[in-house]
Amino acid sequence: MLILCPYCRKKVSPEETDHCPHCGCEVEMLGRMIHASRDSIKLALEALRDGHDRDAHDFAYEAWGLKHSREAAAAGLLAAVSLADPIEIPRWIRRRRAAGV
Amino acid sequence: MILPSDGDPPPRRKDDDDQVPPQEPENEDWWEDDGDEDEVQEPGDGPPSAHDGTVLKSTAAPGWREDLVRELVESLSDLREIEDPDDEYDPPEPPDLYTFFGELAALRNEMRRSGRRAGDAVEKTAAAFDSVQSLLKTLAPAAKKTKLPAAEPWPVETCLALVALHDVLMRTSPGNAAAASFEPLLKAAGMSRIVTEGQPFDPATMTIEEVESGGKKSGQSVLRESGAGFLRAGVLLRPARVVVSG
Repeated sequence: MLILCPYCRKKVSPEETDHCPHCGCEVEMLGRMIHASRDSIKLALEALRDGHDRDAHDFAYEAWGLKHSREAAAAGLLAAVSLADPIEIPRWIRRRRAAGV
Repeated sequence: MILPSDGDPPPRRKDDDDQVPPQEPENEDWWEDDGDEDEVQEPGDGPPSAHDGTVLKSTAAPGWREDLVRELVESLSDLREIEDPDDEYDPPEPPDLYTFFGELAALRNEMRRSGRRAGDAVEKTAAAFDSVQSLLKTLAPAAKKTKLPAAEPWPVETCLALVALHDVLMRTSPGNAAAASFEPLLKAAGMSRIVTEGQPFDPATMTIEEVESGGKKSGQSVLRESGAGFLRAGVLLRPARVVVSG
């Protein structure tokens, strides 16, 4: 997994090093957050599969709060559609558009 | 094709609808549920028809229009709660933790780098002044031994450079030791420092930077010096900045 260093914007693998080899910026915590966000997305999809739509929506929102990603927005949109929530559906559509940039 | 006969009622026109609004059925008992819905109707028990010569009654419950309007209004009010994704309205979205921590890590890295650069600059400056002080110490005995016969003062530009150097030295290492080490160089340049502290204020060689009241001393006497003044060959080179008693 490669991320962009927040200071020098160069590609770094937080699984291999705790600090950016180019500028020394700490990247370990960023890698942990990405992992946590992915775990929440997986939990959201599993809850959707089991029919727990409200839990799926909560997990998707948790993943979105950790990192604004298209995957989290897609999971949230699926959960909102499953809930037939007329307020959350357009919000997740907007979030997905915003994350797609 | 069935042609109208004389016994048929006249056809209803559109104007008639506006003039005569439909009426609610008067006999509300007709709508009461008798609980025999599954009962087989006999041929004579059916609803009255126009062929029987009776008035055709509406099959809707009384007040159905009001109920319909109320349900429609409620449905419209529910629609207002739905946001359109294409609307310009965008509720404030809090930043994600990843972005927040990324900014924090970048800021910490920037501060660490700035601190490191500032530390290097301070070390270099300290090394430069150490070399200047050691140079002054080596020059001081030679200046004492050297008897310059009524030496010419150094050029004004050089004297001003010495004054600037004196200010920098006082800022980095304030104290009498640094000032004393500078004295031989000032003498060699034909300069002298203006004595201010405890002296009465002299407008010819001093400028007032601040006036403090409440002092016991009468008149304007110098309480302390905030900037050194210098004379070059007895002529004012730079006035001293002083704090006087009011």
